[in-house]
Amino acid sequence: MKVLLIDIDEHRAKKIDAIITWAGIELLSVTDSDADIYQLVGELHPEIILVDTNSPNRDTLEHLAQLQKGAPRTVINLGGNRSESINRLASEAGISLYAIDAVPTALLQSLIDIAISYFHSVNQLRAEVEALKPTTDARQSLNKAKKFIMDTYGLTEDQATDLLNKNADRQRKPVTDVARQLLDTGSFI
Amino acid sequence: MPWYHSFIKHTVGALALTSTCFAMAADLEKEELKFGFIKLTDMAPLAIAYEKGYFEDEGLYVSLEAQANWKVLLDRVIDGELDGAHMLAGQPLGATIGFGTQAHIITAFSMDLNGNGITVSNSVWEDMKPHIPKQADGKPVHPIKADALKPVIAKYKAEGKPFKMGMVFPVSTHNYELRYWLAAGGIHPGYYAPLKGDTSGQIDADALLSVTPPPQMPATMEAGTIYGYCVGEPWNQQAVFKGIGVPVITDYEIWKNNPEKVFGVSNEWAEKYPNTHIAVVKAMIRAAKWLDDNNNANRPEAVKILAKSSYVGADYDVIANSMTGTFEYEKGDKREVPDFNVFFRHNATYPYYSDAIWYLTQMRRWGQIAEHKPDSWYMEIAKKVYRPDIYRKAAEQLIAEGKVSASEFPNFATETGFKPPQTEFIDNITYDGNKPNEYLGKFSIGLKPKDTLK
Repeated sequence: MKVLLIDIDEHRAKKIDAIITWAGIELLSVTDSDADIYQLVGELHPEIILVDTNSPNRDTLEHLAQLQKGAPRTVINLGGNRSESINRLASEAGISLYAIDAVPTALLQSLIDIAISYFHSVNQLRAEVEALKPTTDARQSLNKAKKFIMDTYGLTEDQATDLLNKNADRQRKPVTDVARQLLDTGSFI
Repeated sequence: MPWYHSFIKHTVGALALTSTCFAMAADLEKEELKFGFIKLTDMAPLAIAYEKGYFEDEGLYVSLEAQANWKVLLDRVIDGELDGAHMLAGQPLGATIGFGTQAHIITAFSMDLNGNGITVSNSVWEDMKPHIPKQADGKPVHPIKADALKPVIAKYKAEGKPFKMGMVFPVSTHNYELRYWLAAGGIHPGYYAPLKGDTSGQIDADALLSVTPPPQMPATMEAGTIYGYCVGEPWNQQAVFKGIGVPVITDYEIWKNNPEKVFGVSNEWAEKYPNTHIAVVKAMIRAAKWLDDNNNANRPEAVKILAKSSYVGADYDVIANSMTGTFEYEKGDKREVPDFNVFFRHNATYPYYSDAIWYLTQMRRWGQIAEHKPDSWYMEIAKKVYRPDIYRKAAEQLIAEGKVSASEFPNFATETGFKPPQTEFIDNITYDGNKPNEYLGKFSIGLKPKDTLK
């Protein structure tokens, strides 16, 4: 799982970095004002983007959000509480959030809460991150399994996802279990 | 680091209190206001209303705050941090129909006409030149049509280079104008397809349009990431000054006297503070009038004000180049374009329903509005967002106070909010705001009334 930071200054990036990498999320940071956001997002495929609320690149992200389903979208209408916390993230930490549809809202919520709370107190964090860890681990396995299938069988990402889902259905197991099994044994069975 | 990138908010505080209009102030629901703007020359009516004391005359204490991007500007108007803002005409419409952020935003004041241009890189210009007819003096015949760009794009395509161009926001005037110009020359700018989901979003495109922040346009083009762009001033003239590109056309030549920015507020705000809203519109009408008075005689003073870092913050000469009635195309080819920036004449400040509907037709043409809508829908949205009723109240007060004469406004008794069918488009297609679907059917490139992208 990848989180891309755009125009987040070093001070804030460091705080976020400490939380996120501990949870096993890959963090990429860009502060170059000449960076080509389209190319960057196209190459890196981040699942979540955190961007400075006042970054000029936000208008580019808005465009991207409207172009493609696979590209990060503005997360605004998550429902009452979540929208509230996204507003707090913007006003208290000066950070706006974009995510692709596939990111579970619970995970997003945790990430937002963590980011906010970090700017208030560092102490509350551990527990929250621990709660977040199984979810990120699951996604990690899923992504690795997809990559394994794509590399081994020369399939596209959609085909790999399809294959995992079909096997999960057949075996009546959660798809993450099937993914883990595949990574452990190299086989679906 | 460009100024646009700066995170510092420039706040211009209004402190001075003049003795005028205390009686009027008593009716105001809110007196201290904060307005947002983007650092572009067409924010001028706000700066002038502030600097010339027109807000104070209405009993308003206004502060103006530069915003870093269109998105944050809109978000702040929605959540109430800003009382109102200098907006792209497409923003209140886009927000109200839920393209992008959903919120009911209205406008009772159009801020200006025209003011944008399309610039291409030097090498694209060299390739275009052989395809452009010349005048007797050897200079290119204007307006330059995108027909001259078509073979250049074909050449880039053959070389495997996707032809990329920049604009400033998905619902920006610039996006629609660039698309209009390209399509009029037979170049497909691509469809949006919100219903389709997994597509590139640049479906069928000959030219790929992307969003680049205005101040970064020249540098992005110089770096070769984009080959041209459509933007407001001073970013076209900047390319000429820097010698990195050539403006090929102004939007005045694409659609004569096209509506540009609007002053947007949330509907909730407008319902809560109706008298305040009227007072704001009054101050801005006076500012717009000042900007155009005596054949642009006040423009040099306006340029001096706009050049300040708290407003546009660009060189006097760069801003003056377009604001004082001329426009420089290829270096040295400076031509008179007296109406490049219009703030008041031609009823520029009146929020016409037909202007709103034109933007909606373009949203539909390019798939931002994914499905067919009846003419009545266009009418309904225009009336929901554009509010000439509020404008009229402000204007009538100004007339009663003797500050502006009635002859400088539309005749409110008979004004329908629809301009007569407009013919001055680069492709000679006539636009009648009463018949949006019929209009959509006239374009050879673009979604037809019944088309759906799924």
